[in-house]
Amino acid sequence: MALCEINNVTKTYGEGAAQVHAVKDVTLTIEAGEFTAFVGPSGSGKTTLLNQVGCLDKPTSGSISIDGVGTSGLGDKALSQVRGDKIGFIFQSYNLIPVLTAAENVELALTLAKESGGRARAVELLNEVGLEGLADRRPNQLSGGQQQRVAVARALVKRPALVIADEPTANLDSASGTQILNLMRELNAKHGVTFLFSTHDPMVMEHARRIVVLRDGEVIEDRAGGEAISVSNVGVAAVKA
Amino acid sequence: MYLLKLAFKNLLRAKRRALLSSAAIVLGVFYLIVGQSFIAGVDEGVIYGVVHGTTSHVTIRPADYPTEGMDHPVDELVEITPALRSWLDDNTTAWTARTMFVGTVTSDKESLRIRVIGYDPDTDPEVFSHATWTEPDPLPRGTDAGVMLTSGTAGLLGVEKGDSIVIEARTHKGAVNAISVPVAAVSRTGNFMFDNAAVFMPDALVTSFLRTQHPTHVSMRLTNRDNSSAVKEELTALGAGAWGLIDWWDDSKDLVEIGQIRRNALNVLVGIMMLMAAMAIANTILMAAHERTREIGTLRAMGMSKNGVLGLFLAEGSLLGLVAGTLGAVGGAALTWYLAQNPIDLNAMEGQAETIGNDVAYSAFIYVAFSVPIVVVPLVISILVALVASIYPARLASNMEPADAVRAE
Amino acid sequence: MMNRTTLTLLAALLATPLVAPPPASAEDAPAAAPAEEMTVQQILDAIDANMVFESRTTKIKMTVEGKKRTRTFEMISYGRGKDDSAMEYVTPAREKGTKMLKLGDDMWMYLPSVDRTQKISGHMLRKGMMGSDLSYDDMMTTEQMAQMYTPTLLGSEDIDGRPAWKIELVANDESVAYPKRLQWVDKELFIPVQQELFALSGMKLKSWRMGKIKEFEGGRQFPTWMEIVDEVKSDSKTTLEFGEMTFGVELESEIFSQRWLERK
Repeated sequence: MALCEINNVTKTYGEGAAQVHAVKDVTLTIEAGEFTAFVGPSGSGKTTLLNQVGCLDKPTSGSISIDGVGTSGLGDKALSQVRGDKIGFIFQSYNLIPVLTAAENVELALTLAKESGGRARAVELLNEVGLEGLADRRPNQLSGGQQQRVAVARALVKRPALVIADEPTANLDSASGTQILNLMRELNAKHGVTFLFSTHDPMVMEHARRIVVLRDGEVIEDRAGGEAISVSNVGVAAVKA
Repeated sequence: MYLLKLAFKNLLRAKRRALLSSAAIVLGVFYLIVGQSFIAGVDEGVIYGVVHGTTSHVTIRPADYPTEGMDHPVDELVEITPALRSWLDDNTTAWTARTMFVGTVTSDKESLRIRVIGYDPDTDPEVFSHATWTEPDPLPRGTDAGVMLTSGTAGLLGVEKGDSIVIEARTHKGAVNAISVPVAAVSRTGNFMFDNAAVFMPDALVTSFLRTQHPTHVSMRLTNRDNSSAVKEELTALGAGAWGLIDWWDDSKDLVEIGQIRRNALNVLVGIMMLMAAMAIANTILMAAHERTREIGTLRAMGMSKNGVLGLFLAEGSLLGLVAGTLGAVGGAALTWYLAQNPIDLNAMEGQAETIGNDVAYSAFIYVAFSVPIVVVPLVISILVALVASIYPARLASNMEPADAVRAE
Repeated sequence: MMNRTTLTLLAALLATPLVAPPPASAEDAPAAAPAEEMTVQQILDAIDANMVFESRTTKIKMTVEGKKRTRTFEMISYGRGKDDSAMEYVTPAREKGTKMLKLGDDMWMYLPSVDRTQKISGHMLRKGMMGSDLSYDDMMTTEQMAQMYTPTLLGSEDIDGRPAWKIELVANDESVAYPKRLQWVDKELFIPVQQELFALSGMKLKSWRMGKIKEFEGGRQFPTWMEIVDEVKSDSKTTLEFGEMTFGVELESEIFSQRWLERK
């Protein structure tokens, strides 16, 4: 069974003449262990689609299921539970809780997932992402790259089915960005965690094994990744489709 | 609980803002505690004055004894029958007899109608504490020692210890009697009613002066003053209607009821302060929610439910109320406790002292009554006020759409 | 306004029945032994017999001396029979219009400043309600005195150059206000010209004297001056001077009514 099934998902905003179809009738399957990038210009619907998958939002029509559990019909409490248990998030701006230390940030994810392990497990994961000795630093005492690593640790500490990363490298310099990507690829290989990215960054696309291209809310391309794609090629690919 | 821990850390985030917005609570709780304690203290002061000045816990007097004005007839007296005596000996911690009458007191300089209190020098101090009297044992005794004047009386008459005065009054049967007596002592009693105008005369002298065999008042101290109603009933049965009975509450309740009015006024005032505090706190939490929109989104993304977010912000508000309330409570309790040990001496500020008519006993010290409920209740109220104030902002926060929140600036 | 002593005296004044000398006609004179041989009871009886209760109008000037100040008042007093009298103030301006009325045992007072009539019942007078221990009792009639006191004739003394009997009155029981009184009775007029009042302890409380006896129409002789001294308070004295007196005049019955009190 696929890890995640997306069936005819549509998301519209607004009413009447101002209505926007952010996502139009998308159907996709995500298998466990994927390392997939969703690409497209702004307004293409990639963020919106991932929001649906990540249960941050509900589709206007269609259905999504994760691990065999349909998420579209769930109430807030259940949906929150799904997010807590099964989905890890990594954000462009790291989104760490500023009043908590690195370890506390990671531990919070465990608490919300109602899992045990506490600080010990948090520190373990921080070590794994290369932040030994920095467990008790606050986010404002860490560099951008370090903060993003904490975010990765936080996303992974609860062994989620899926990690959704929204422009994870956008605020990082290329060195840090590469480091993060390598880290994520390592974790993907080691633990089999599925990573879904939404990105503009060609470097990310380079690392991705599958690329889904979106435009105007529709999937226009869905292919294997790994090829070097230049910006201009995106336009070529669009013409080909 | 992790929510409380998180809430607490968030509170520490913007200390100055938190303190400012909760200042009204700090002050409100402080005023409430100190104010209520003063009012309770005034009540206690009134009760103290009544218990130790005129009425003790229960007083027996003739059934038709006038309750108002300066009339103190000695035509009806309270006979202490053997039955009454043995009852008093068995059921009270102390009892004493007094004879109250009004006489014209004349000195070289002045002539006035003044209340005279005939006392038993042995038992009077056991029932009416003389702790606040300036001369610990000034009570003259016997028929030749003379009388004691209170300080105000001596001042009015222009006499000192050692001078003589003439006291004129009607005897028990109605004849006019007048005697010249020396002023054996001048004392301050700490009780305004007496200190303004009163003469204390030993009962032996009263008996020969007024030709009375019995006193006009029998006053008693009980082991527990709250038993006074039960005691009144028992005595009514014994006295078969010849006696009127009053207890300490009868004599203090009018003034204490004024205290209730003051209490209500204070509560209203502080209520208004709490309202302002509530608005300030609501605003603070609202600002916090807006500033932390992204954080809220992240928490939701991490699996926190709407109720979780709601709980978080309610906890933050309540904690604010708790901290502010505690600050106010500690300050208020400290001041109140200090004043309870060190009452303000009105004698020292005589010019500003307040008298409430001639007939009311009012202590010369301002007491402050310290009690735990007076401290705890405002604290609880402040937590509740803060909690309620946070409801709207917390709901706002919890209703934020995670998808949008998470991307906010 | 008036102080307590003044009020009490007014009450007493209203109560004082007037005493007149024996009528000119000898037939109507009571049988009496020659002055030097009278018993005390006979003396008292003679006083009693001289009581006159005709209608009368009197102008009174009262001077009240106290430690701090002296005040003067002028009043007009009306008497009818034994029990009824009325009085109104004429000066000073502040007291003008104040009126008192006594009918039997009842007394009323009207104060123009508050435009109100207040009843002062006899009961209250006896209890010294006006704040004083002195009351109506002060000026008892001899007929009451006969019941309450046991008299003893002590001898004779001259008062103001006129011979007088000195009588000691001792109260029969303790309910009488003044346990002892001394009275000096003018031998010719049978009027008490001096009285001293004593407390139970024997201390002298008050003394009053009447003098300046004048003759009025119909041969009536009368003291026109009265002085009351408080023996306990120093410097406290009240003097009354009786001016024009008219007797037997038909007084408006309206005076002896409550309506009169409030009439301007």
